[in-house]
Amino acid sequence: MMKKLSGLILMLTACLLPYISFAQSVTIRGNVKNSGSKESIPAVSVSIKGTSYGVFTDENGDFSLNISAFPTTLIISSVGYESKEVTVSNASTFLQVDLKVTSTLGQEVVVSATRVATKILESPVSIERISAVSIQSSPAASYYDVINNFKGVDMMASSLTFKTVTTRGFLGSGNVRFNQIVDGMDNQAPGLNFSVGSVIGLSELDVDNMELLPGASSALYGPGGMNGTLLITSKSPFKYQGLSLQVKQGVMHTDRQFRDVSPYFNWNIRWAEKITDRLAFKITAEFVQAKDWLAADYRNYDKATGNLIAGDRITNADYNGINIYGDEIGRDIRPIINNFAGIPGYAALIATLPAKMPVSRTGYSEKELIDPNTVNVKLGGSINYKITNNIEAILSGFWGAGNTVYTGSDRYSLLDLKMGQYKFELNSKNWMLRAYTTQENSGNSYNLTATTSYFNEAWKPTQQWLPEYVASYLNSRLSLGMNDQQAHITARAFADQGRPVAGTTSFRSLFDFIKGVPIGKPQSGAPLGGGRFLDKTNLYVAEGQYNLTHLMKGFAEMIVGGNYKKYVLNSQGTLFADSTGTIGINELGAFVQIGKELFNERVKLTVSGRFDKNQNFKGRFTPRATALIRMSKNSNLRLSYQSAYRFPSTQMQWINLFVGGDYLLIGGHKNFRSYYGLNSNPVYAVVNDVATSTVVTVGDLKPESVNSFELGYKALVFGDKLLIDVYTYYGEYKDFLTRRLVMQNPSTIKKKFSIPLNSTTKVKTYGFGFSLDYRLANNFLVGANFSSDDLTDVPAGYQASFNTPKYRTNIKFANTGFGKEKRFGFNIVYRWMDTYKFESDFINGIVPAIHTLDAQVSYKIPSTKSVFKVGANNLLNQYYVQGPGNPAIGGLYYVSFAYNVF
Amino acid sequence: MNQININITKKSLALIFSIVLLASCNKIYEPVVPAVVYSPGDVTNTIAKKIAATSTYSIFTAALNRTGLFSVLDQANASFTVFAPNDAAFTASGLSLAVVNAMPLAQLTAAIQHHIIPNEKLSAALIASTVPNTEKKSALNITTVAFVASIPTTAIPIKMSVFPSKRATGAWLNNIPIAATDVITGSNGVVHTMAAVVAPPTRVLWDTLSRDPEYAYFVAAVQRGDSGYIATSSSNLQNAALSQPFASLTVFAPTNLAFQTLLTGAITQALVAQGMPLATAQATATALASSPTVFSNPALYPVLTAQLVRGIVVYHIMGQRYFSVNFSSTAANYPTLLNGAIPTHPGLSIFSTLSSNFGVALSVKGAANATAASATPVNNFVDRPAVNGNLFKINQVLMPQ
Repeated sequence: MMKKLSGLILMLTACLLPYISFAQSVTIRGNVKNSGSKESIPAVSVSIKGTSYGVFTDENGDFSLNISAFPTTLIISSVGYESKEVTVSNASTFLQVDLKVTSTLGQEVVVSATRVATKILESPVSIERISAVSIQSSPAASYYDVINNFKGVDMMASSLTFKTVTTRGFLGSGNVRFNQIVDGMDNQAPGLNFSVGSVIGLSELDVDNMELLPGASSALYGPGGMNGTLLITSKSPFKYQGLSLQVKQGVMHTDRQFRDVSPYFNWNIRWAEKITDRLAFKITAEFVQAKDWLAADYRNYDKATGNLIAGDRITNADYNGINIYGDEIGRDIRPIINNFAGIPGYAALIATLPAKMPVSRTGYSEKELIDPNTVNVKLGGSINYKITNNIEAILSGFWGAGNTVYTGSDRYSLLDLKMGQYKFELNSKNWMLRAYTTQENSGNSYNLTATTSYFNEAWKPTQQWLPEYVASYLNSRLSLGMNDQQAHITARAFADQGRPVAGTTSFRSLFDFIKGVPIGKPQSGAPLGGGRFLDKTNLYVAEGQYNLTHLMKGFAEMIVGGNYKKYVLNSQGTLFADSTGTIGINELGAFVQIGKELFNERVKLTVSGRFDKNQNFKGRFTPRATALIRMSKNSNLRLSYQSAYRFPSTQMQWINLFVGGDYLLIGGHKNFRSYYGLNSNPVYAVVNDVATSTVVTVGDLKPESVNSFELGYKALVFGDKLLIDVYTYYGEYKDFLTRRLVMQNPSTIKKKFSIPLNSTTKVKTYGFGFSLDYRLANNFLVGANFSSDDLTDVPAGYQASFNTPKYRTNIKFANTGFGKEKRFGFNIVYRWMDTYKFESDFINGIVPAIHTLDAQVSYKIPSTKSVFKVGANNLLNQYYVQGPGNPAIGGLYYVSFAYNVF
Repeated sequence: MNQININITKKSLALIFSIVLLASCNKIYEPVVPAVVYSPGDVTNTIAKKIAATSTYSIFTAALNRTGLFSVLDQANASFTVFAPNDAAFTASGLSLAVVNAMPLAQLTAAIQHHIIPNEKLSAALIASTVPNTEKKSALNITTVAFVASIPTTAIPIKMSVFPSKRATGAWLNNIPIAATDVITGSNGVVHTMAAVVAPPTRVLWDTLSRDPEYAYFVAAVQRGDSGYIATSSSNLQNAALSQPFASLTVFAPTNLAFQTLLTGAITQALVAQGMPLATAQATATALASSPTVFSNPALYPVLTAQLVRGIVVYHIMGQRYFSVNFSSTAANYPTLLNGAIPTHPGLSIFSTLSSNFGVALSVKGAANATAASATPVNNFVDRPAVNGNLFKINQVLMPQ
């Protein structure tokens, strides 16, 4: 496929080359400076008025532009500065332009809200934007974390580099209800189904901006954006040129509570060159290495219900610690004990024992197993070629690899995970064509629970371990007089004889062997298989968009577009039911959007519709309507109705995986029904691991959908110094995709399944949020936001996995330049989120309220274009946990040096 | 302008300060190590420590230390009943400290384990005063093992049974009196003082009987009674009861002389009835009864039928373990295995005589006997404990009818 793709690109390029015109011209040169600080400004747009032809200043603020006729007027503009027009009458003068700093509040331009550039103040739906400048001034150690400071955003940290973002509820690692799009490419791992933005995406120095659309947005960006969409755009090599680098050196675990003090490395480099006015390229790289936050939640939980229960390894023989693996395997030893009743002297004791005596294998903690060492390498690059002044061809690729830890229905060690995204794009003023592919390779990633369970089976099979345990238990009670608890402890020590001690060579070699054996592929030494998944699922997408507005003769704006997606599932039977060959899934979609100004441009209406068809599901239409009411110059009211839906994820469709507790996780494709005979040999609902008499009929899966209404207001007041943004929304979800445990042949072989299905329950969400950003004198900036999300109409006992605090707030206080020559800057962000109930396939529990404080102080030296920064995330080193089973996140303190970062 | 700056700085300091206060209260999960609730229990008041602190238990303490059983009894999360002979009891049993220290370790360990009932705190109030005796398992393994179907690879040791009992006049472990009950109550058990060492038996009843030529007739009678029942039959007395280590029986074994007397008389009577002159009959009967082979002499089968012999043998065996101390001090009837076939049979009339609570004499009378038989004492005591029962040597064959 890659070969085909590159062939296509070559052909397209070849066809277009003849149309390139080479006009006779002269070159003018110039430089742009900040009128106050006299620093040169890079990435300033210098364009010829009345045309779309222009260039950007380079890292020294210099530009050169070919002009064919004199006199000509240049427009010189950059975000954060007042635009300037300069008339040039000859080529000999060196042009020195000074730009005046201006307030940027509300003036930024966003694209994602309507797919056309719009001032953020005039966006018809809620949107948040963060620019490269804001990333630089943020105290966050990684740019991805900056998203957390938007109102209404929740972010879950499964590890240092594995962050999952959502808005309006349903937080969880690997959130499938929130789209993430990087340079137009959906970056959800096609097989593993989590968005990889924080692991494999843009390097920090290459991020131009991030735009966040909270709420339903699949009408514009396709199935999936139920709760929101995040769009990240990289820097064009035409605009941002030269060599930039940033070195962040930090320290973590300073209090040694979970691990020893360890360093944090985050190195970034970006090199972009404009070779000619038409050809430019960039190369980016990022390297992150750290001893990760440790998940050390050793509370006991019930595997069947996911609920926390009392007890620990001492008090409960069936203890199953959250971040302890291998102890998920347990059996009732009472039936074995009953066999002893015939031995003289045993019956009296046996009669006093409880009817059920579950005992679990001895597990290993996450720290013992993986001692998580996060390594993350990101490489990226692009070649941009302007075929004409209006048409740009871009060939780009992002590749990332790394080790991290992910929390799904279990904890997963993502080891040597690799993912690449490669794109060819043609961009014109009015149209866009894009083809890209996502190439996923799970590397040596493995499931901690499965691996550790099979590891235990490898050193001593449970069939042998349990009788040893029982014999020792009874002997301890009858010969050594021990009480129940002491006898269990003694029996465990006896049965654990020969258990490899974590950290020893024998432990390491056996564990490394088992984790390398693929799931469900038994081999010598691993009779039940291992924990590794071999996922090489790929995604291929072609899409296009055409803006017909110029053909509408001013009547209305109109955009049409379409896309084709093909998933190729390839896990060799370790994740999907694809042991006999890859599985393809095709999806087609098309959309149209019409915008119309009414009442003297006081009101702008936009209506869009989108139709998608997945080969495994019925076609689906999603409408969206928005209205923007301009109440005064900088004060706008917005109204929208949006619907969104998502097709079941590739895993929901095709997974075929054994998980802890002997359940086979299966997909919802109809082939599973016939293969396992789910309806011909009925399956029964399971409660607390016991089959009930309720027969579950397995039907066709439907896409999940949401209808959402939103009302918002955005205004710039008090002499353009205060930006206010307020919203409230209401959403109704239906056909929730969820899972259910069922049992086939409960009286005989007890085959257990976890089947996907649509919940008939309709749940409603509602919420509100507001933010205030106030620009004070002397570059001080203070901001605060507050938001709320809630869920209602949830029936008793229904697990919605809303996982969202009812209230949260961010308070920011910053200065972008103070002290001598305004070289200092600082930024303090305080974040609070309320306590909330966390529910997942893995575990349920209460997350206590979280307070964090991030801060940074920076000092810049304009002459060498360098910035020094001292920063802290979680300054007070107050550990917090965003869900049971997730790591405790503490303070990260760093110093950074950045050179030529715009 | 400066004024504004100062104000802002002040405000920002106040803001930072309040944020710091707010942020200093995150809560995370407990515990941060996998297991923290472990409690070793009340380790300072274990019976091991209390025994060691009692001066009259110096020999027992020395034995506990030598055998390593101290650490077992020092385990607080456990329960034990210890029948501890004090120094006087050891001495009375001929076991001075020097002897104890010189004993083979395995033998000493077995002896001490025989005085310990694990998994129970059997205070005096909990010792049953009813018959039959309550069977308890001591810490001592007998040499036999069992196999469990689900664990074919693991041999399960069988424990030696002991029988604590109580009457108004005293309390006993097997046939040995408890000198004082509930002497020590520790966190993990209770200790009684024994009047003598309760030596663990090493042989099953059949082994004891068949090794002793004094019981040759009884052994032959058992075998004659078993004829017709194959070795694996549950009715085979030799294999299913007397040799079975799990069994718990009381056996009154008549001496050879008692059998000879009975058989001579019985055969003489039978020969005379066939018309043989009395003197000849007497001489012939004496010759026939002079050897235990009398039971395997085919010529006598019509007289000593298997059924008859078996009937007599089972009348000498009780299905429960009684020690002399457990019998009434005045004659009372006790059922035997014969009651399995004839439930209404009166059984045996037995009484015992105690001296200082030790059983020194025992009288047992069969329903058809004219006089009562008496048990022959050994070292002044009438009990002869075996692994699977108690044995009395008696001077008459007991006749059921």
